[in-house]
Amino acid sequence: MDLSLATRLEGDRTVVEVGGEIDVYTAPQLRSALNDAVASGARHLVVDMTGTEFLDSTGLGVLVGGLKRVRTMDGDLELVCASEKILKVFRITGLTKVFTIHPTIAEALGAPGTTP
Amino acid sequence: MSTTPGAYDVVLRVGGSPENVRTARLVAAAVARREGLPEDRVDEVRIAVGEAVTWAMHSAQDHVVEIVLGPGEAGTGTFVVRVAGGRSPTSEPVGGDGTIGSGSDGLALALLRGLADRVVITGDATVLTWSDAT
Repeated sequence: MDLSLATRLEGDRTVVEVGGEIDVYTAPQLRSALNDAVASGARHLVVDMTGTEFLDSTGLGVLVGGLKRVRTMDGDLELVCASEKILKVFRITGLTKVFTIHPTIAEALGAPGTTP
Repeated sequence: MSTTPGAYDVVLRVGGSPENVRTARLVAAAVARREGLPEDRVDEVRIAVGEAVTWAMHSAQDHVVEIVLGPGEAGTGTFVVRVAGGRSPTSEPVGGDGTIGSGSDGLALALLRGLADRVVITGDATVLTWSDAT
C-alpha cells in the first residue's frame, strides 16, 4: 500500500495525516510534506499516524528530522498513534523518550505537551 | 544456515530499487508464516528483513541483494534469514538519555536487535534468527 498524506490546520496546529506504509520508498513524500508545512510557517506539527500500517527506520529518521527542525524554531512535533505494532518500533529504538505520542487526535489537539 | 540454500530455503535476489524492499518484506512474511511463526513474530520478521535489505541496498556493489530464508538447523525450531550483498548497519542506537544517535543507521540496528532473537553481522551479511518456528 502506498502512502496517503493530508495536511490541515487546527487552530495553531498543523495536522499531517499519514496513511499506509512509511518506508524507504515512501518516506521522501512524508519528508516533503513536513518541509512544505514548515516552509508555510507551521511550527506546531501533529503527525497523525492513526492510518499508518507500517513504519521503518527511514520513516523514523524523517520524523526525527522534522522534530529537530521545528525545535530550532521553538516549535514542536507530536505524534498520534495507538497501534501496538507501530508503538513497538518507537519503543525498541528509544524514541518514546524523544516524541510525545498521543493515542487519539482529540487528545493531541486538546492536551498540548502531555505524554500518555 | 549455510550459504548454499537447503531444500526448504527460499532465495530472493532483488535489484537496488527501494520498491524491492517491499517485495522482500512480503516474501519474508510469507515464508515466516509457512515456517509456523506466530503472527506477532511474523510482523517482527517483516520489519527486520526490510531494515536489513534497505541497508544492504545502500552499498551493494552491483546493486543486487540476496536474501535466503528458511528453517535453521534441524530440530532447533528456528527461522533464519540471511541478507547479503552490501553493508550492514553498524552504528549505535539512540542513547539512554534520549539523545538522538547517528541517524537511521543506529535506528536500523536497534530495530534488528530488538526484533530478532539473534543478530549476527559479518562483513557484508546480516543473519537474523527467530525462535518459535515449528
